[in-house]
Amino acid sequence: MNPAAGGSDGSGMGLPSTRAAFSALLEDSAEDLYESAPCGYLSTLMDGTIAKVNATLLGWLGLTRDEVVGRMHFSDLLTVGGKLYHETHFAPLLRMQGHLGGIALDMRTAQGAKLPVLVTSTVKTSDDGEPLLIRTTVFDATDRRAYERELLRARRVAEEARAQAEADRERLREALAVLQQSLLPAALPHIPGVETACHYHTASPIELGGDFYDLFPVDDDKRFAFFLGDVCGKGPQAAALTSLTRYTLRAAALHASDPVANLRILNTVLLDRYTGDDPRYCTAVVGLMERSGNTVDVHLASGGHPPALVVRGDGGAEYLSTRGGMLVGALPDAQFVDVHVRLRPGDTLLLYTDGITEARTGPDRELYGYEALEAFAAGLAPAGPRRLVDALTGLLRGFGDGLDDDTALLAIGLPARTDTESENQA
Amino acid sequence: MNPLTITASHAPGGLVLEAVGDLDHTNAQRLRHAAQEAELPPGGLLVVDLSRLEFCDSSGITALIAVRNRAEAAGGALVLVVVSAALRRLLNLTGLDQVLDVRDAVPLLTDH
Amino acid sequence: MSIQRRNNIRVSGRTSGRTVVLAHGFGCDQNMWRLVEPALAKDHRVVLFDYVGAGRSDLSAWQEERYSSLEGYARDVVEVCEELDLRDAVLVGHSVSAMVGVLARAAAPERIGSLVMVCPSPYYIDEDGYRGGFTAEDIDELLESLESNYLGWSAAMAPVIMGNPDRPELGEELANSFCATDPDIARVFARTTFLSDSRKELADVTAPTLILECEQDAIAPREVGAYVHSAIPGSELVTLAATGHCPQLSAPEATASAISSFVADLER
Repeated sequence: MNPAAGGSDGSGMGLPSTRAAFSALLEDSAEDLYESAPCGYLSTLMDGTIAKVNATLLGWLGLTRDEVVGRMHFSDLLTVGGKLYHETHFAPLLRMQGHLGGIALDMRTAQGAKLPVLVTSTVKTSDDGEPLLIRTTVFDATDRRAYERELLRARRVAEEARAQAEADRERLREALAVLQQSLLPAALPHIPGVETACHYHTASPIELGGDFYDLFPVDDDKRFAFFLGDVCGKGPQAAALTSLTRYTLRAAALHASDPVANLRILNTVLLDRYTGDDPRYCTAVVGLMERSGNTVDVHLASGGHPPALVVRGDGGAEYLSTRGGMLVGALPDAQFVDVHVRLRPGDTLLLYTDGITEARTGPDRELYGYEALEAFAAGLAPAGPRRLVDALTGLLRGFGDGLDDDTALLAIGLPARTDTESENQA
Repeated sequence: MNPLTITASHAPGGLVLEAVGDLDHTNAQRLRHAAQEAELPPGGLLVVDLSRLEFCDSSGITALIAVRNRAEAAGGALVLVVVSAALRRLLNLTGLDQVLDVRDAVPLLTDH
Repeated sequence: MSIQRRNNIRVSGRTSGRTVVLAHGFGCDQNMWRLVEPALAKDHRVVLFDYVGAGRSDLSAWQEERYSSLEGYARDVVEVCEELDLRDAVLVGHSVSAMVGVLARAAAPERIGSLVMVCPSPYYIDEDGYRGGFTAEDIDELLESLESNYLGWSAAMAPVIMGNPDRPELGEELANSFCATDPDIARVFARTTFLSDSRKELADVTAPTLILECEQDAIAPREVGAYVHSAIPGSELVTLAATGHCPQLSAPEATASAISSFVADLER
């Protein structure tokens, strides 16, 4: 604190010399305060006729008192747009409320320039409440309007950007959905005498999954090929790998009727596409099935994929060991292991990805695991593909956030004999 | 979710990289880089010690394959040290236990 | 949502009296009629409403396409009349609503029997010998004024405008803001109001029509009042000793008595 400023200790004000100096600094009259105030003042009759105006406002507008007082209305001082706003908004509100503050209007100077102002008006009433006149203060808002305009511009830009971002996100979502659909069959084909079911659980709607499956005829509806697998990683790169994998396996199945050979073709294609520093692989089970009489013969080959499970029509469930099969696409001399299985009426073959076995359950977040899956399926046996897949879908749902990976299920089975008979009668 | 820490220690006959924590798609790249930056002597042994690894996903497996490709391209060899049953099962399931040298303890590295 | 709630319809006055529908203009809402309503309610049944987008109407019912033409507002008027099953009502339209009234009457002549046009203007833009009082640039200036006074509208005003029965403390603020509207809606209403040309429709008005104008009106000058008067066959023109564009606020007694005597003449 500078002591020369005085007053802070309470004693300075008492000195006569200081008081005199202070007094000289004060306005010498209310009239001068009115005329030279740093804002515009004007008073109008209730019809808007200007009755009094201060020098500050006259100076801003470049008008003389004689031109204004008794001759002009308040709205005559405004731009035409301001006049419209005044008549449609300002005047009605002021009439209704008796007071109105901080309204942005534009005035027009004698030179034709626009003067942005902030206007506050109060209606003075007589003792019995009759409105007498309107008192108005006018603040120069040139700077303020400039940054308000900037704020508005910024808001508009932000709103446009947000709208654009939302549109982009929507387009992306659509593109992802289309892409995801291209990785899976729209529907499984109908195979006479065979029941099939499938399910795909997507862990995240915005992240493309890396699981895939397919089932399709290879010749004359007698033999069908199928596969189910899981590519490493997530997102667009995983999706590209899935796409390459799916269409390679489909093409391979049309050429070679040996599932091991199909996996070798896929291995070659992926190795060719993805080089040493950026290896990418998938694990897959590939199968070929052919009907013979009342049974279906299945020839399966696995490349590093969890073993397929057979749920027997006479109870029980068992894994089909394909131990030793290696993941596909990362190793030049990868070995694949095959297995044959015959499905009898009531038997169901289940292919799945490790989303289910790797799910976390219980308070300790234990791995769900292979034993639990086998026991769950055995508990359902005998169960047709639809019932099995529905039950597993319920199981997956029950995992809640313990399931954080995509999961694919494909089940193929022969209806139990009684079902076949009733179907034949129908 | 456990953070991944990778520690490198050099020995005359090669290099030991110890990975502790979770190895997944968020950090698998770091294991690759660690293996790339390490100067493996010709014919040397790269030991990736996973005995204190708690989790490994498919991206982790990819990184292990990349590290192995790199070591072999440099004329060296990769040894994996695996203790956890889960990781052993994963290596077994993917058939990688047939192509990778998987051991249950860090071998003694000597100049040869 | 019912029309009743959509247009925030309020009915008051003498149920046995002739129905007078009061339609607000651009800028505010049915509160514009607050000072004339009591006088009219003595003898008449008074219907007040807000156009969709104004006052306490249901903003979610607002569609840019519908309310970009005066026909859209006229549909509001007709739907309000249908909702109350009005017959032979007197439609009092302020400002742009005077023209909306012409369209509503043409669409539902059995419901709307006669018109009172308060400060009407069929076209605001100067053009080939016609003097509406404004240029197209003036209208752009108005839109600018709207914009500068709606800064921060969405954040601060929205809950007030929406009306919030759970928060009665907002009621007081509401009284201070009956001229506040969603800026996007206000922009559309302003364009529709000031750029529509309804001159051609005037000659087809067959209903008994009273035109009220003010001695001094910056928006609808007297020559426009004279134009409307000469264009509508058999219309009556009354010049109120009032200034401004809102005689229902600046001269409520004179406005109410002019309307009442016009309605009384209809009864004879």
